[in-house]
Amino acid sequence: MRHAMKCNTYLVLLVCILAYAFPARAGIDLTALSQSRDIQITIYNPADLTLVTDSRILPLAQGMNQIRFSWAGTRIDPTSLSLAVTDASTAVTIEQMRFPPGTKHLAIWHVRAEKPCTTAIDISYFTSGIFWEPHYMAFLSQDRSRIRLTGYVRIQNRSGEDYDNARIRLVVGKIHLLDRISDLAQRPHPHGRPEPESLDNQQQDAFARGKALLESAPTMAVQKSMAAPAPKKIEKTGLSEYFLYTIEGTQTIAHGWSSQLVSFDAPAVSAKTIYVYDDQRFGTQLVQMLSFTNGTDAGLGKFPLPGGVFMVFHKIDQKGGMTFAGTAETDYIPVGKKAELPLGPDPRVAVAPKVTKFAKTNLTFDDQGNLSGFDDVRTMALDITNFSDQPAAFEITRHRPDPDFTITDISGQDRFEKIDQTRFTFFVTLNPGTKKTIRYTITTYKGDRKWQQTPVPSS
Amino acid sequence: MAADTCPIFMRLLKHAKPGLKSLMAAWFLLPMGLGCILAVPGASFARTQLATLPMQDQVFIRLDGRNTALVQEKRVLALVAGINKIDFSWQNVHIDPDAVYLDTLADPDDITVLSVTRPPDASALVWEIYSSKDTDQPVVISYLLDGLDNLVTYTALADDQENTLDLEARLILRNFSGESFDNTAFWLNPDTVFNTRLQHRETRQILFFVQKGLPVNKIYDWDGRTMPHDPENASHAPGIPTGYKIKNTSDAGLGTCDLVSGKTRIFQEDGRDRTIFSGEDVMPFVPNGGTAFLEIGSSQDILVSKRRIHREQAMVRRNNKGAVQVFDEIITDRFILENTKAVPVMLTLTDTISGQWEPMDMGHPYTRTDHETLVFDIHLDAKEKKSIDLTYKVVNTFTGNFARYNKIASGN
Repeated sequence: MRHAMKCNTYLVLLVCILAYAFPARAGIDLTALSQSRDIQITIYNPADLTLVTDSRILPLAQGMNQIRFSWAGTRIDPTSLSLAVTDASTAVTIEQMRFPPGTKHLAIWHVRAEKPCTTAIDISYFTSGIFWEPHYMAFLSQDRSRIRLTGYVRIQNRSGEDYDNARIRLVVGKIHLLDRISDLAQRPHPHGRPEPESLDNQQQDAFARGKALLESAPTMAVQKSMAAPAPKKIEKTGLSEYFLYTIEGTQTIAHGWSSQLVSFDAPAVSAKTIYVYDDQRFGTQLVQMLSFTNGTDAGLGKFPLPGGVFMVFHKIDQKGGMTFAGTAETDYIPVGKKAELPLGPDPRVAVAPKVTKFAKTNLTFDDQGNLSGFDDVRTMALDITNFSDQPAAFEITRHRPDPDFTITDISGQDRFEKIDQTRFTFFVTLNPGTKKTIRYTITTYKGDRKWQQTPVPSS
Repeated sequence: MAADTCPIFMRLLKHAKPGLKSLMAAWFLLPMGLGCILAVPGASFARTQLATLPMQDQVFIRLDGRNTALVQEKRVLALVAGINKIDFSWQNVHIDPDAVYLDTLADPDDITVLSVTRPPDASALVWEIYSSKDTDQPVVISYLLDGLDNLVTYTALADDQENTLDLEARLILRNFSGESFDNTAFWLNPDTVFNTRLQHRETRQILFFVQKGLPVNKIYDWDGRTMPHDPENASHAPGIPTGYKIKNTSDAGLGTCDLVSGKTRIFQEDGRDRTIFSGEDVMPFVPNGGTAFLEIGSSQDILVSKRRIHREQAMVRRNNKGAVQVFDEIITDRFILENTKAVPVMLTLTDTISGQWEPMDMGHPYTRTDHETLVFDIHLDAKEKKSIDLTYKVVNTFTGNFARYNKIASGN
């Protein structure tokens, strides 16, 4: 229940209507704003930034009206406060906004109406403390050839404010910000002051209080006020450099709570499990890598997947039995691109590179008789073992410190690919319980031999 | 259950301690609770602390060597038509809320999980489930639980001739999760599932595998990279590591499952119906078909010395000023081996020759495991003393700036 939630802060919006014969003030009447609100929240990731637009219907008296807006206990950036009249049919002018002296967390708009009317306004502002993040669960099929991939979005509200029945949009993309909204929200003066702010003890105190508030804020929450027969759909649309997730209908996000909504559910995405050896990426550990493509396969490929944590499980029967395969964190996955989830090592599968023969050949000397170059010739063996109970595909990438080398006498691989001038990869698949050795000879040209080498095509 | 293909796991219950099953029905504490189910079509949200719990039909704990316990509870939820709110909460245990998953095992047209919310205390989840009708629906709730893992320890008993080992493996379940489990199926792999109870703060050891008469080879393992080359003149002679080499193969009575890593205590029969403790080592992970060496101690009775008895330069190439640029070396190293025991022994001698080299007269068969590592398996009769000379040529040794290319690292 709402009162059960921890909610230390509140937002008050009042209209102070000054009914007066301009320019003399005749008095002040207070009128509560219409309760019919339409709140739209746009939450960014990874920036701690949320744009809140609160739309209301406002009765105005002829003359100057004051609209008072206070936000004590919230994490609203006062420099972002904006009021706009959205009903063009009314003759209403917003003349100024004040932050009265001696007050905190209070702004007053002066709005002039040519005649008594009811108009529509939007009050918008930035706030910090509302976060969203993607989260994925992947369920590997028994034969590991497919995954059921379910994407979630999780929304956390630590802003100090409850947002009832809000329309929520989530933004995927990096946004350029000059200031952190959380810093702006904690300044003692909305737009700062001429003196260096670092000398202001009050400001430091405010920062400390804000930090304590953030650290002590309880976690999460979104709640639904009405039952729905199906999970809310999340519409995904592109907008400039961003991707926008719009949650169907409205959602209440109460301070302290978090909620998780299904973003998509792709039931049978083709997947591959390969074992990757790449000492520059993973050290000498052979890593089990689950990969899939964000393509038009089983519900994917229509939108990018924002970076997030994948929890991967392996189905072991049809009755819900599964094992935990590991976690992996990925970056943003554009449409059409492959995602790779490193799930850690498997002790039953191994790759052991070794030098089986080493020779220095083709020694060259300069006209003074000094050694000036030679060929470093190494015969290499990659001993590969698959003691697991399933076929295992391997991608073994090797690196050379310099590009002056050639590779010859390759054997044992299914496929060989030279990635660039210093990297090459072997591809091989082993049946369960088998071993294999990939052999090759690598000749590196040292000293003058770099310029005298006899080209040997890489195969 | 592939009993015939995996004797390690087949024997789990056969070798369970007497009385184990009789303990299974004892009490357990359930700090985790599945809260009440509210049929609240259209009602406002209300989280309920009431704990009218549907009983767990079955609990599986999946331990597959990752030291992360995946708990899977099968329960039957009495769902009513409309929206049902289910409060899953926990106390005094650590559960990753991101990894809690509810599988309704039902047609999505009939039952759908609408949303998951997490209250401010973060030790609970609230699922909203839509059901098209009143039904008792089996579900599986899965979550990762910290503080629960398993170890394996081995006990090996060698016969007095050290030809065979009786190997016993014990599974140790450690539960410091805050949760107690009664009659729970512990799943290690498809062939290893067994039921037991496990209380919070309880450590339970279960004998799950015995292999008697496992053939082993006792070896003495001298490695020139770590052992002194002149032990007679060394201030401290550490002795030569000795132990048993075992094979995880069907010929040896194993070979159907991996041997997981674990501490291994090794005893030996003394021939008088008593045993002595020989030593302990860590059994490495030994996949099916692999081998392992279990060290029990060091022997002072086998003596190995290595001496360089000849070195000459050849093919010396100089520059115009007479400075040496490149040269070869012909080297003879002598291994002096002595078995002071009254029984024959098998010595494994490992040594390295760095750089580019060619064998000339190696004196004994050997295996070259990489470009610089040589392994000799040498039989020494009782009280035998002999020497082996290795003569080889190190080729193209550079001086000056190019000297850094004389040796390379293995694997690169």
